[in-house]
Amino acid sequence: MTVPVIQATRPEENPASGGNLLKNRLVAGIFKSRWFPGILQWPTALVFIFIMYVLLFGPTLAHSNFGTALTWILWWPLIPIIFVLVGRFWCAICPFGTLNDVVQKFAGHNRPIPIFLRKYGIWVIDGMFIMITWGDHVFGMVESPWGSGILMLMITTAVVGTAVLWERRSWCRYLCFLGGLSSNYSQTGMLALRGTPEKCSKCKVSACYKGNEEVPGCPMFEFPRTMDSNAQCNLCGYCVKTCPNDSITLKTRIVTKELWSVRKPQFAASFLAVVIMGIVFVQNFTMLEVWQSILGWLEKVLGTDSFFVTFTVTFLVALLIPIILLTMVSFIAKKANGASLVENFTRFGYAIIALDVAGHIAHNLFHLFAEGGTLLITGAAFFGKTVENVSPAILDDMTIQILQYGLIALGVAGSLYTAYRISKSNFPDKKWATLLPYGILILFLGVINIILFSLPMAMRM
Amino acid sequence: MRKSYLTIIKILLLSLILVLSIANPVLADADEARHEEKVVDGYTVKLTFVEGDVQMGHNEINIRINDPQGQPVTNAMVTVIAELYEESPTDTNSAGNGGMNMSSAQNSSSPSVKPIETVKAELEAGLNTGEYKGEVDLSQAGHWMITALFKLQQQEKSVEFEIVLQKSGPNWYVLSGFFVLIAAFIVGGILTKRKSVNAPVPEEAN
Repeated sequence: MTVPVIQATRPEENPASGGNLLKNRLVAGIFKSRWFPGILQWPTALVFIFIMYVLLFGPTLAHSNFGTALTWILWWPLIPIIFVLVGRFWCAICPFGTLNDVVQKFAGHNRPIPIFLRKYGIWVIDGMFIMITWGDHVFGMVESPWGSGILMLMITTAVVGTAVLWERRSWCRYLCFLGGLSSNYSQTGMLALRGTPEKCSKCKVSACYKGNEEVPGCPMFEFPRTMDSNAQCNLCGYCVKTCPNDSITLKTRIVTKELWSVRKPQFAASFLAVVIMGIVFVQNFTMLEVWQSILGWLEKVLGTDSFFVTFTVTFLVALLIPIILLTMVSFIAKKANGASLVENFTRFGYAIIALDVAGHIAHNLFHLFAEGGTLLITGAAFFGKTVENVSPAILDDMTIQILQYGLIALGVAGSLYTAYRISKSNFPDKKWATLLPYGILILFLGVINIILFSLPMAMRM
Repeated sequence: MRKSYLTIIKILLLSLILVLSIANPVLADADEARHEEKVVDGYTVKLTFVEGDVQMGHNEINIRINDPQGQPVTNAMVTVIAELYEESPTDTNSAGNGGMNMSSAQNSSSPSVKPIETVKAELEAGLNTGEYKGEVDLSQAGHWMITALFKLQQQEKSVEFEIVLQKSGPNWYVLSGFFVLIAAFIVGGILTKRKSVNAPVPEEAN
């Protein structure tokens, strides 16, 4: 297995464009405080323990379980929005990351991460993401509090295992499926943390990577001096604390700007981007009311009523559609710009990410606003209270749909503009000819999303 | 370093064996589907919980109806109504601890006692002739009265099955397996821990 690494012909400047937020005394104070990010990590960990308890020991039906509501109605819809607003900051306070740090402190061997994982970890993430989404449908993990709890226990076990064996946050960087998602989505984010090249070039201590006596080095194996992407930065602020040269900057930037300015686009990241598009299709499709009749049709065609078989076929088809489409379009673009199919796939796969994020948020917006009331209902029930006359819906269907269409429109615009900028910086003489097939693909994917969101959708709880 | 890796591999293998030895009885626990038959006006109605014993939460059910001549009844409209009561709505003593107790009482629930919760499910034709399948969610422990209503040539008939559903706790075998594995990782890590060494700075850092 080879991992194509594309060198950009005309890399753009650091995508950060706004002022340095670390010049602000309050922001700098927060990042340099010894309480940061711990002060957010521990409450999050406590909430996580509570959720685990409710999932595993609480009501067995999803619609009665407060843990299910907190996880799948509140946290899961909010998480892609957090990625856009503050990049991977969630990863800095994620309870699994905190667990990793604690276990490592007492039992960690701090071995270097195996070369295989360093090279191909992103493919493991891609595979895990696909398997977990598939497993969710086949074993009903989201629909079952027990299933959700077991999923979290499985992750907990894996995190403890990797924390004992390997240094830093190996799990988060190389194995976490949510980390894969967040690394893709956070590239659309509004914040960019970077080193100042003039200062870093004279630095001899590399404290940002190594750490010092008081603060550890970058837990995500990043070296701010060479960072051109926020895909792996979790904004934990350790480098801000350790840098003796005050080199680290935290700037705002235009949403999606990083997608067209990343210097070394990775094939696996682009692959994950199109896979996510397929997964968004599956998630939407299987919640549509027509899904049951299609399932019946599939049972007849395949000659089996096994959901395992029928769903697996549906899942594979849904995943393959965007992959095949992007491959075909990259082949067409190859005729126009002369770059290889893999190179085009790798570069322009990043353009899909904006639409991925929009589709993901739009899908979960339905659950947040159509079922958000269950947070109150199940929360009250957990404490032995009954809430009368509370509707699960916070907004009506029409309003939610308008929001969904608006998000998809934004996603399409973001993807189109990203494709244009990638085309412009890499193929300045053939930019329009290169953009055309990708533009058509993005519009097509946008239309499919709109159609899916226009159909009635089933509840999660 | 090599010795340490071998120790970790040994711990992992031991943990795996432990988990598998715990998991085995869990897997072996899989029960045959529970079922109960009732007769109403000569029609035999058999209710089956497809996935074994009745459980809190999602239950797949199957109802088979045979006419007085023993022939499977097709084209019936079958509806199931599951009602939860605080106490047994019948006079029948619902014996047994947990699981399913299908009493032989018919149409005996007291109309004066109101159910706490009602779940209704329309059944569709099952795989075999005379069978109807569907799903009911029994959300919590208590006395559930499952009423199977079926309409035949403008005639409606009903049969009741009483189920005592005890609160079943989490599967401690599975949970123990995870906890043992996690504990093994941590204890193994502590026992074999060596002085941590700072990882080398990547090439680009120098």
